[in-house]
Amino acid sequence: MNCRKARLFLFSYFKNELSEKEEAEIKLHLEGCPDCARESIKVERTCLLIKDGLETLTPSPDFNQKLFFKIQKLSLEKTKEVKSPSNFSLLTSHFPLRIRWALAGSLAVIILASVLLFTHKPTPIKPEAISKESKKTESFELVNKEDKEDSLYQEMLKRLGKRSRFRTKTFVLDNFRRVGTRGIDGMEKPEDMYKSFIIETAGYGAEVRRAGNYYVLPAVSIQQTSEKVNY
Amino acid sequence: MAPDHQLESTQNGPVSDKELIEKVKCGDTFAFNILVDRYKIRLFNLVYRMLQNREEAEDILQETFLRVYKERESYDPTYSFSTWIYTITLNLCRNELKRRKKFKFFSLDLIKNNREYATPQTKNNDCISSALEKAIHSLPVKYRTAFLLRDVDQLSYEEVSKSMGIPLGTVKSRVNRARLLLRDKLEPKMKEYYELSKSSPLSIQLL
Repeated sequence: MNCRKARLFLFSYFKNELSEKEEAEIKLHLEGCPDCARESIKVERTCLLIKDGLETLTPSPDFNQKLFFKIQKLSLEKTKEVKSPSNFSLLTSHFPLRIRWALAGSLAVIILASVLLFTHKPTPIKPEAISKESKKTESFELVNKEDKEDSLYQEMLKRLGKRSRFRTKTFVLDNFRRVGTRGIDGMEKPEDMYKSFIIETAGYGAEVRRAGNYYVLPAVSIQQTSEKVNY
Repeated sequence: MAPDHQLESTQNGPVSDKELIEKVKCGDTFAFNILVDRYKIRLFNLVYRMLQNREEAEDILQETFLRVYKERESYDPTYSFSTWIYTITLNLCRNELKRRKKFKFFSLDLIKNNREYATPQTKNNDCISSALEKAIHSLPVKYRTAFLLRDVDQLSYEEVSKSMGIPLGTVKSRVNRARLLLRDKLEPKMKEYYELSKSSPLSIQLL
């Protein structure tokens, strides 16, 4: 064994990593080579220093406590997820935070836009708004003279008359208020007050129709309508 | 005998890591606690010597054990548990070192030399330790990792190879390279140690 190879193996020699044959070769070389023997002392000292010279550091005393607190938190989160899986969170959980914010922003814009769009459309009233508990009061003369002459009223009457074999009876309710229309500020607007015809069609069915500025509401039956109907 | 002691050791010797992790898979947190106690000190020293920052070393170690707990189901018992936990630790250290490259990092531990939790040492030993620590820290990461696993944590070459995910021959050459570099770096200090340690207990070992 030459000096170069022997020096390369010195560390392994002191760490007992060599085969018996290699070990014997090194031993033989060190006995006959004073330079390598001197070098071997340095290496041995370095080995000892590495073995015993490093101090052992310990983590903080509450290391385990902190860890188990985190584990508990983790298991709690898991059980929560199992109990109430949110489709939305499942859908977005794999997105980075920036994209999630962007998604939330665009969703908010879409919701706001659709709310604005729909609040500007007049919403038809629901036929069940008519009180079914009202008494059988037969006051059919609610239609004003002006309304009777109204061409729209005449036209509606004509059409209903053609369709139904029953005699039609008509009520007009003043200050008829549309259901569900509010301004952006949440207040009712004056133009939401309408006059409306309520045309009794005797079993014709309740249906809301729009004609110009009026809502024509064929009522269900004469018994169920009266001047006391309050909107 | 208390049940906790039974879990730590049996008549045939201490309970193996594999047995413990199998118990952890069944939700046994006490078994996990034993595993943590078994590995925390050597892993803490390894991470500290990789990062040179005590708080970060502790954070990385917490993250390591959390990952072990989270991924306990994915542990393959055909492999050694120690290799698995070392791989996780080294990956986290690697990520942290990469992050440091992006953002300039300066360890406060190097200035204040905070030894709050350190075991008390003699003055002479302190000097040796700090010189050795400095020399180890000055090694390139790839040599340092191989050296720490082999010579400080006493893993076999095969275990180091599996933990680092590199061939056995590469591990051997890296470890040897690290040792030679350390010898060169420590040489100027060796004489000093030799003189100082004549009266210290370490001198007996060094001579």
